[in-house]
Amino acid sequence: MSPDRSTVLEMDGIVKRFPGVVANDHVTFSVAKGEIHGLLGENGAGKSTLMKVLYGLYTPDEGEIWMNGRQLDLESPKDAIESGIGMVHQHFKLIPRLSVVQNIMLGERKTEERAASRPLPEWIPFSGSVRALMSKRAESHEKVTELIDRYGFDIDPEAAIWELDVGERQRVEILKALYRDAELIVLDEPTAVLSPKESKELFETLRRLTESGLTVILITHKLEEVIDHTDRTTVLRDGEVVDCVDTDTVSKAELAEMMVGREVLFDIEERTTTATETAVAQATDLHAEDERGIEALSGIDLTVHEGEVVGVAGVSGNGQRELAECLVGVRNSTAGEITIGGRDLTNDSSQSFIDADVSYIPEDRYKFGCTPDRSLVENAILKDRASFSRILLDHQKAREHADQIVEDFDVRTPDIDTQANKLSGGNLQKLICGRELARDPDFLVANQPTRGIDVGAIEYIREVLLEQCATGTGILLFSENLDEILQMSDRIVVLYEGEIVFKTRAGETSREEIGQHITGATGRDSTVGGDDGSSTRALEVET
Amino acid sequence: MELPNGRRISVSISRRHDPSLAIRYGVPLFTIVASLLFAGIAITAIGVNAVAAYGTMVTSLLSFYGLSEVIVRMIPLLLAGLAVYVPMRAGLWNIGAGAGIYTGGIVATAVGLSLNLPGPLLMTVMLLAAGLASGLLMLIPGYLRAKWDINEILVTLLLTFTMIQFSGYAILLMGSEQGVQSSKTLPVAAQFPRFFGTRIHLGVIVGVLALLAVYLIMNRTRFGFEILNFGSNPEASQQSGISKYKIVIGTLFIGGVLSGLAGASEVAGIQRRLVPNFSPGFGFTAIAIALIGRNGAFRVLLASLFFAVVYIGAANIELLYPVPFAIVDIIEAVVILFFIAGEGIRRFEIHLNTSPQPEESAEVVNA
Repeated sequence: MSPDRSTVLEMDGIVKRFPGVVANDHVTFSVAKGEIHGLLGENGAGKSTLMKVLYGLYTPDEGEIWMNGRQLDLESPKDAIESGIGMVHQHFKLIPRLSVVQNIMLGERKTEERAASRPLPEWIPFSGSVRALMSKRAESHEKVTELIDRYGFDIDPEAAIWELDVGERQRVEILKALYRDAELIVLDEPTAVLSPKESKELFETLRRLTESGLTVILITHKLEEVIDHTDRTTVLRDGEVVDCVDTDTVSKAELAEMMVGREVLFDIEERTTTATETAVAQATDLHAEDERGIEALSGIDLTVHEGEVVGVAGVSGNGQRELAECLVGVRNSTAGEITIGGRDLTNDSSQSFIDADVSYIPEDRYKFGCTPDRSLVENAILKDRASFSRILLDHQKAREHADQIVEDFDVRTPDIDTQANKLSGGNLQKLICGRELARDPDFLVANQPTRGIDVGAIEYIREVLLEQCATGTGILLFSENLDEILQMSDRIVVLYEGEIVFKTRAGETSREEIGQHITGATGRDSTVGGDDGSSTRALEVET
Repeated sequence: MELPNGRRISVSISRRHDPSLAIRYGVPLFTIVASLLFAGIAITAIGVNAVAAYGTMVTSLLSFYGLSEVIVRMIPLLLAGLAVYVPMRAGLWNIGAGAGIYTGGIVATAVGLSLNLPGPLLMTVMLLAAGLASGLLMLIPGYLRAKWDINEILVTLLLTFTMIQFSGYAILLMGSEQGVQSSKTLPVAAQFPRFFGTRIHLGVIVGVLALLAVYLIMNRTRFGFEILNFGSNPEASQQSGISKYKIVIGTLFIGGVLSGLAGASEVAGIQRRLVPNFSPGFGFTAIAIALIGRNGAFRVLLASLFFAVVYIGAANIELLYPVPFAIVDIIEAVVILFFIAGEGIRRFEIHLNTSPQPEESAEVVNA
């Protein structure tokens, strides 16, 4: 970064206290115009708080915010938006029933001015507001379409949000910020749900934005992204700034150390497999539909053995969620069979799967993994509540169990009576892992267990999963992170458009090879448009 | 909104994080004062001295008789409030407490008139039959919701009207007394005993037991645990093996039983015969009660006390002054409106921003 660049944003001495904790302790944070500035830190380090202060969601106890030499007094997100700050949140803030364009129009400023600047012809009936509305709608549609084309987002602007998958929804959020002509865009974990290809395009987009004079703040846990795509990086730890560095002067390991205050082991030691020949879970010719009734799984054959990690690689939206849900009894299949521990449990209740010692770490912690406004105690015993109650609940025993999980799984929380939604993502994920592993399952389905959490928690959760596997649990690991798949799995399958298009063993494949398969670059080409599953299965490697 | 000078006012609403003392205590006070003032306008408009009327209201409420009538009124309100509260904790709207009240009233009357049993046994059978009948009735919306996702609000609401109409038919079926549009009077053995020379009847014990039962179920049992967690997140709960059928049908069944007890108590304790329209909107008031008391069974008790006081206070004015009965409804409605507005002010901050330039934005805040 050339030092003569003008400072666009200056947050000076920001202090934000919550009962019992100082989330931001005199944080000084400065961003230069036209840069991509990384904001790194573990969960609970204060990144989110700092960005909520910047977005007007929190009022700081101390400190000042300056933008372009003007002091800002942000009382609400509206003030932040009017000051030219755009935010792409990690948790989507979209209205499911409305279309993409309608969602993007919400929160738009200056709509009427823009409409007035390009009025519709006078002959159109109904004057004034209707014409303004129509013009606004048409204008928005046009602009959204233009943005979609320009940035290569593959979204139908008239589709309703509920019809979109997680990845597409995230793209709408990004579009929304792009649409608002923000001068400074904050992205919170923007690539968490994007495929490598989409991520690459996103960063090209971000680079284009910065070249045209915009500024980007990137909150991410992926060190590669910081190294590859940011100009400077500010590292937060325990609410304080550790350092602000030019990214090309530091290594990944140095950044990680700054962030967690110790050295992080990036490569889990070479695993010696603990797999046996006993199958704990088996799917045969499994078919299932998604919420829209469209076939999401087209004949999956999959076996997980005792003490084995089977990694499922693929970009989200290719049937991962459906497969995971079928294997834990949450979703009914339309054809095929599921056996758990040798018993046929096809389309049985989720309770039967739980009773058969199946555990599940769902993809979306908040939506599927916890009961957000209940306490940690209740969340800790949610699945095994029968062990803590015949008719009456044994509160004492439940509290002991929750205490144990909080301690064993390093869940950082003020106390066990805290509501689950008050935990940070990483800590909630540790709690969920604790709940699912403390029951010593025979079969564990882990769907994106480390998505969107900090490096320390990622490392921890991977270790815990592997320890569990060593005790004989068969694990089916869904992940979009290829390194995670490669490091943790004994066997790897690639899921693409509802089919297993590739099977291999860890150590016999490479990142590149799997990367090609997950994007459908191989295997399916000859059968695109057809439904001839047998030809794709012919490509499978016998395992 | 545009002002004449071209400036604009925009309104933004955000959640209040730490309500100040002034807000916490000022808002309820404001609710009471504002609703008294507002209802006072209506009272004054029909030529009655509002201050004197309110004075009468307070003194009559503080009298032994006034207090006893508040408790009498609380019995059906508490039971019906709990009937809405239990499904509400599972995320369901039981708009059909009224249906249960009428079902309970009909069944209790039928049992009381047809069985010849000693008093305590007969009353027990009446209560059990009434509770069971309306519990079974609520299996209809429960099953439809659990199996087909048919909106329980519509089904329970329509059942209310169905049962109101059916109660008239039931009176005909059971044979009415000559010239009177009601069923025969219940035999003495079927009439709930009254206490202390007031109208407070056996139903008060039913109400207390129901309150304790609901509290225990919600806070001490596995079923209550499952209800509360299902209400918090149905997906996560089902994934954890909590059956949707069990929760949806179970809570609506309990709601049905409770509202059935309300109907049986009202008929056997107050009316002593089945009369058409014996429930003056208890089922709907119950929704407001459950909403206000949604955080705990004992808050439902307090909310039903609140509504009983408002009703009896207003009814006393109607009794002692030449005002139409509608004034009771007006006072009740005004209090509910101000109460809800006060709740809103307590929980949310409202900002009015005037902007010098004519621009406007609407931001969705999900904070």
